Amino acid sequence: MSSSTDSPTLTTETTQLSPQPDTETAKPTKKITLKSSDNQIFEVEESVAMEFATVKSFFEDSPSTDTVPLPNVTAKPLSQVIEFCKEQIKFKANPDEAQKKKYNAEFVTEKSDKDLVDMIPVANYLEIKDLLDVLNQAVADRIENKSVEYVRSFFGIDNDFTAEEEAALRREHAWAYEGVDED
Amino acid sequence: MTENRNKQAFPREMVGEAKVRREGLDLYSEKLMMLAFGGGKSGIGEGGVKIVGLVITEWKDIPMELLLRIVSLVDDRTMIMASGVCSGWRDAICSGLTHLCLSWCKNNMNNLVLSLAPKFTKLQTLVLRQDKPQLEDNAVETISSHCHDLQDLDLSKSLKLSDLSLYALAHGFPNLTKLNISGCTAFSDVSLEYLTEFCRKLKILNLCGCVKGATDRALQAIGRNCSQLQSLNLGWCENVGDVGVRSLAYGCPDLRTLDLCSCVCITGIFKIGDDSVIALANSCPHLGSLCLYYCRNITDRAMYSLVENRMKNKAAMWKSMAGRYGEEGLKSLNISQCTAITPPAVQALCDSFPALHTCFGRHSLVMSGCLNLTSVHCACVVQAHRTASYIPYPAH
Repeated sequence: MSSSTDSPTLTTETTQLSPQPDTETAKPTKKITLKSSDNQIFEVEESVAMEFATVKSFFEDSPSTDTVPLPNVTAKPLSQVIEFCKEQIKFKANPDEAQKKKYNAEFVTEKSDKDLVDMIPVANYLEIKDLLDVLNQAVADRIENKSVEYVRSFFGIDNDFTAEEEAALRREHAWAYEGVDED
Repeated sequence: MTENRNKQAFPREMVGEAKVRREGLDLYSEKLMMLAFGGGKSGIGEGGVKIVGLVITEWKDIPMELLLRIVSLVDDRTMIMASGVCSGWRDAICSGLTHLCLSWCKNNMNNLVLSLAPKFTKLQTLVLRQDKPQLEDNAVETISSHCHDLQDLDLSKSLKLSDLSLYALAHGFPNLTKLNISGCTAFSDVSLEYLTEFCRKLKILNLCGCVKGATDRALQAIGRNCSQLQSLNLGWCENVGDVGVRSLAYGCPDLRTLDLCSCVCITGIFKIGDDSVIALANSCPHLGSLCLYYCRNITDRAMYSLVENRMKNKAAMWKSMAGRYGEEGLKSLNISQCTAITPPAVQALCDSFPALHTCFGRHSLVMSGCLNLTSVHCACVVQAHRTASYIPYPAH
């Protein structure tokens, strides 16, 4: 196999002997370093980093850099996002819609509410459309038909309404939810 | 709230300047920038090494577009709840929501509309279909004084609404293109006439069961004012007759769909006759779907006028729009219970409109209850019959 690179004259013979995938894996893949806001370093394969549209266009602008600082992206959601993108690359190489659907469903099911909520801004910022779609749907499923209080604590949002506004919202809520089961 | 407004107003030209001053940026303007970018590509400096623009850290400040994408995935009830989470979410949802359906509301639709319409002012589509009549005139008045972008309104089965509602619609929605007031039995033809003078962009109108409203007078007004109309449902409108349908046909040349199902007086007088169909055949070349269910006055004359006009249009259309000929013409016709029509007329119709099918699975020519028409078949059946048994088709 290595002979193909050493002696180009033998190409015709060696290509027959060594199929394309082998030469692919033998090629050293370029690594890209991502630095989270809490200064953790993530070394990922170029193909994975290129799943992040934001990082991709960053490289198109400045191809010489190899470390990408990601201010305000913390390590935990970033590692989860990387994990997701690694799998997606495998599905790109071997398309299997059923398996992909299964993986995506499992990916979000096993995550805590907080994990999901933390990943959405990251996926949005890095412009990973597939992941964002999966996360949005997962969050939507988890808040469907829940109370306002539940959703506030789900996203960690404080109630900033005046007492008057809150009272009006409560009335609306009661009208909308009359005859519907509690959480 | 202020931040939310800035989010849209923050000009993109500021990006370069903001980048230069980046060192000195306080958290507030960082947040502003982040909102302006929404985490998008514009956050990347040209040739720089830093990715400018920040990830949202506070869910109350989530970019409107992202929030709307999430709430578009939940039901309308949950969406209303989400608009009460915090003022940021309220403002985002109120200024971004374009489609709302409250048909699930069993008891409090009126209160809910009174409360929501002043907030959701960007609505384009509003569905208020009811099983149990709840909506009252004050709700429609509130909608029409706040939701000026509305284009599509469904008020079907609003039995409690009076003419006041139609007057409110007339004044509030000059851009209405789609209106469903089926089953609103209290509306009069005077108020409907008034509506047509203001809502002149109507394309789709459903008056099914508007017994009092849909009269010849109302149809004449529609023909006079709503020349863009493409679809009209007059099912069970017993006060509609040839005079009205003729005016409609002449005034609305773009008509594509017309439902005259069961337009028959309780006294048993059939007011829709051949004149209606002849006027439609003459004036509405785009007519693709026509329902004449139980219009028992219809005779062969009506069928042959459709055939004749098809031939006439054929020549004209070959010249003007070459390949599009096949897309035009009747694709769906219901003549069930029209017992006066004879087989040769319907067969001629079937032969000149190849999109009309009698064959199983593609029933676009519906003739149930017409026992004398059982010999009429579309081309597919003839073909299948020939290949299967080599017996010539017996119809003519």
